[in-house]
Amino acid sequence: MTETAAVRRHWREYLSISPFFVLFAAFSIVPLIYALYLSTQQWDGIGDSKFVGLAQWQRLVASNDFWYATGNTFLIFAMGQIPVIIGALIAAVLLSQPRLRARGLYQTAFFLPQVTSLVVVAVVFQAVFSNRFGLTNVLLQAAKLPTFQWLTDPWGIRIVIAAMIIWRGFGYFLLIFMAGISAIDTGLYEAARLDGAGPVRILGSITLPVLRPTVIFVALTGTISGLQLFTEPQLLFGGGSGPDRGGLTMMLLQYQYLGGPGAATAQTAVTPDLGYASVIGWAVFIILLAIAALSFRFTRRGLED
Amino acid sequence: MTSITRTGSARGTSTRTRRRPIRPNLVATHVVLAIGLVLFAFPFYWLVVMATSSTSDIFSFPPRLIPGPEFFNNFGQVLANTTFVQAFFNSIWLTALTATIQLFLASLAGYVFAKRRFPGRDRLFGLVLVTLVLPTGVALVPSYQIYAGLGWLNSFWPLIIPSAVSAFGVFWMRQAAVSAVPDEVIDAAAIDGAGFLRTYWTVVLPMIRPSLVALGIFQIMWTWNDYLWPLLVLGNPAQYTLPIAIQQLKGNYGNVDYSVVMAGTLVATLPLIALFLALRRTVLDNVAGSAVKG
Amino acid sequence: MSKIRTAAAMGAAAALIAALAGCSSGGSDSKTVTIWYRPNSLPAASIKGVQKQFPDVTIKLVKTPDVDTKLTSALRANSGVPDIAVANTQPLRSAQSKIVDVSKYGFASVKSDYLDWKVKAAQGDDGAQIGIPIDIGPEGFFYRVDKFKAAGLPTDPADVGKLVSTFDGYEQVAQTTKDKLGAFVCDSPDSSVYVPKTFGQGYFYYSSDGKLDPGSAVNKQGFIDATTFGQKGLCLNAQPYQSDWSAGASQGKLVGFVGPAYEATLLSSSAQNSSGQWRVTTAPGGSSSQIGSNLSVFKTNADPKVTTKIAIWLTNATNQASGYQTDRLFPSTPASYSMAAMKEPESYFGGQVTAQVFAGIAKDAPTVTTGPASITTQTVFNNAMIDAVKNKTNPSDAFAKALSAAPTAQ
Repeated sequence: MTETAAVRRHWREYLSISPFFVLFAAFSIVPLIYALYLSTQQWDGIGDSKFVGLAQWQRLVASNDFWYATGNTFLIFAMGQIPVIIGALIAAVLLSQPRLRARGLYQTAFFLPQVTSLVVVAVVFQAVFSNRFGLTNVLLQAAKLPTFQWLTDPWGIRIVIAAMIIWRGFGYFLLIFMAGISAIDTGLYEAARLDGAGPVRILGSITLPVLRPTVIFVALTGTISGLQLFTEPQLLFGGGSGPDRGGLTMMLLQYQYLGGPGAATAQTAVTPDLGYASVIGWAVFIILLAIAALSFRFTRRGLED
Repeated sequence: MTSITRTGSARGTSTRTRRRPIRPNLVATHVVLAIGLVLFAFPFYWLVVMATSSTSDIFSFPPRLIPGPEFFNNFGQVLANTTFVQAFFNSIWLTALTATIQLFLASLAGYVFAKRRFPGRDRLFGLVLVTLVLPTGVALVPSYQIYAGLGWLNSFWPLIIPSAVSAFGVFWMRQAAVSAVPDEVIDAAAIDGAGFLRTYWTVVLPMIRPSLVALGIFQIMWTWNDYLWPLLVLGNPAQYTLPIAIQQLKGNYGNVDYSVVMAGTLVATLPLIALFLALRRTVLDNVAGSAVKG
Repeated sequence: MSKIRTAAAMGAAAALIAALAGCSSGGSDSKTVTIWYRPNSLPAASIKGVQKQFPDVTIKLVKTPDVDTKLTSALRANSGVPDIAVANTQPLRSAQSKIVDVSKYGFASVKSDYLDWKVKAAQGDDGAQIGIPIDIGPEGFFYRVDKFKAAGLPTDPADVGKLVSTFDGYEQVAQTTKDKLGAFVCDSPDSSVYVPKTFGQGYFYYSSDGKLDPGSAVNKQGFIDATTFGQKGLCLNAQPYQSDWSAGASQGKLVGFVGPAYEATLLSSSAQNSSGQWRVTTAPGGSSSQIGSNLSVFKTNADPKVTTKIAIWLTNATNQASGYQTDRLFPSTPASYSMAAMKEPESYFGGQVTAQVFAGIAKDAPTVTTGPASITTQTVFNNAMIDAVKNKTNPSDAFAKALSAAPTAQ
């Protein structure tokens, strides 16, 4: 069979997936090429741009900002994204126990942060963790314990950002895991329990294997979005990096060089340079692609059926 | 992944009715979950407190922890100072439309990638995965320019088209089809003479319903709360979506009357909560089995 | 049968996408003038009256949050740019080629209606007028009468103003309230000390001949003094618009601060419970003012003459006077200051006529030379100051470090 004949025979399949690729071609390829072009320019975004060749790449390699941001991103990722995924998996398993009372209440409570607007998240986290009048410090003070400068100490900042990630992401990952678990036959669990299997064994021998496509999905998308971490520090510091750059991440740095939203009022301490911003974008792309390829390797079996 | 599909088809031996004594395990579970409940629900609860108090009360000491009487006053200011009602309807139809398109296109593509064999399938799917990683941010400038060139600025098209089908959606629906739709069922449908679209509609869709609904919830949430892109492309207050309308309460130089903003936010959040409560059982309760038997 | 249905469904999807190509939006023509403005950035009288004033053109008022973001995005792509926008002028300087020099279209004849320093601050390269002044932010000292009384300090605005007129006097007041009440009259060293010390000298990181000059003596002195002030523990260390600031004001821990006139909105919503107790007087170190916003007219296909005329009308003295009470837009037109709207006593300020206090400050404020890098540079030094106060770094060292991170002229 020739290739064209095969294509013709499978026209329905190609047509079904074509909307994605049409959109991809129209609205991703062009920006991608544009970003490549921008990476050779120096441009504040409004005035005239200037060709600088590979100077932006040299700047990236030489700058301590980007590497600091990269390290900080991985640090916060380990403190926030990994715990939230594991925690949500455990909660999903707990919540899928048969005859659990108040299941709906728990599920709703865990999901509430997902529907809570980011405006609220920013206000609440500032109010809870602010140095002087924040709820945490007020409570610590009342208990005669030493207070902690959550929003000015770099480690405090990382902890608060990690807490935000966990708080916001929990319901999302829970929903994903539970959607996967709900496809598992309850009878399997009952049978395993009758055989005397404990919760850990049930998790290892039934839940996880059946959940594998879901776990792969979460691992891949969770890693990608976790390393593109940006919203939480941006909310906390209005676009700035926070004291001693404790909240600086790769994407936040890119946002700052983009002259991000509210450029005129945001606390950005850098001169906008779209050329440098696109070089950062490409560097992040390369890092993520390497990680994705690596994890793809490990999880290959799950993607093939 | 064939092992999964096999276990999936061996359903129907539930022993639900058997009685079981209360286990200490269950108590521990409740303790853990209850602590989580308080921590996770607190910010939302506080949103309710803030929306019903005055800004000054929020910041007083000791901090106000029970809802106050100011809600109607606050919300009245929201209605007076923003295009809230119109924005509410804009958000409703826009969200419903984009979610419907996304669900249809993503599930169709996901099913095709998971269950149909055709030349180049794996390579094309690899491309879908790569697009998940593509650098965003910088794309804002050329994207804006593309829509300007198409003459779509100040219209809803830039909000509908890019979210018509996402790599995330396709990937998610593919994984759902891989784990929830046994090959045997597809084969059986083929023997019954069901065509491509009928198999998708009557066999595959019901079986991936929990995942489909989950994607729907996410898509609706994202569209509903999206701020930056609608701000950039919508040029007419009559077109504003809810997040932009609420930000209209943010005054000159960053002045914010928190309790008023919170009152608007609370009302804007209610539809999402209602939606979640309505769809919760479909996604979260263990309903597997029924689809296979049907 | 199924094939037909498949094709139909696919066709529907394709048709949807194809249909979109036919849809286009009308661009702006010379008869329609689109105005973008932040909420509360135009006086109510301007918004209400502009269409009636210019019946020959259709005026489209777009109240949009984050107008600077939206404007940047439109200017970058050079499409969707409005005819007029109320915005910060500093970041727009590099887009000067897309902005109308309004002095060529009738602004020159009304120029003297506006504060001279404000007009100059809205000029781009070669003296091109790229903005028509609207509000300014004269810096005053806000304080609480009841708390000052409790601390044994004078309470009359004139007396307090005299007491804090020097930074030494200000420091003494700060020490007194801290010792006697455990409360602060400085929110953050950058806004309460650094701003008056630099803006008061007409300095916003550019020398008077328009060169970026972050290493100047004014900056160095201001930075070191403010950092030292903060390191003595005399400030609450909370930035305006952060929750600690509002909590401090609400809970009586922040009983005074230096801030622009428009911060009264923040104050009155955060600290409703101390209504009637607040007063305003002159700030330490003499008069200074935040620059505020301007109306920029863009080179769209609308007639620049008409558009400029509209922008001038929107900012005339009568309209600007109406913006103070409701929106805290302090007028840049001195004629407004003697109008009735600016002479009303305010209950939040115990019946004080705050507009008159700020009017005096506004008239005396020096010309501030600004440039495209002003705000970025300010952020660098502010961040450095906050870090230095927290880490107790030697102020001179902190300044040197910040200077090396500051933008340099390109």
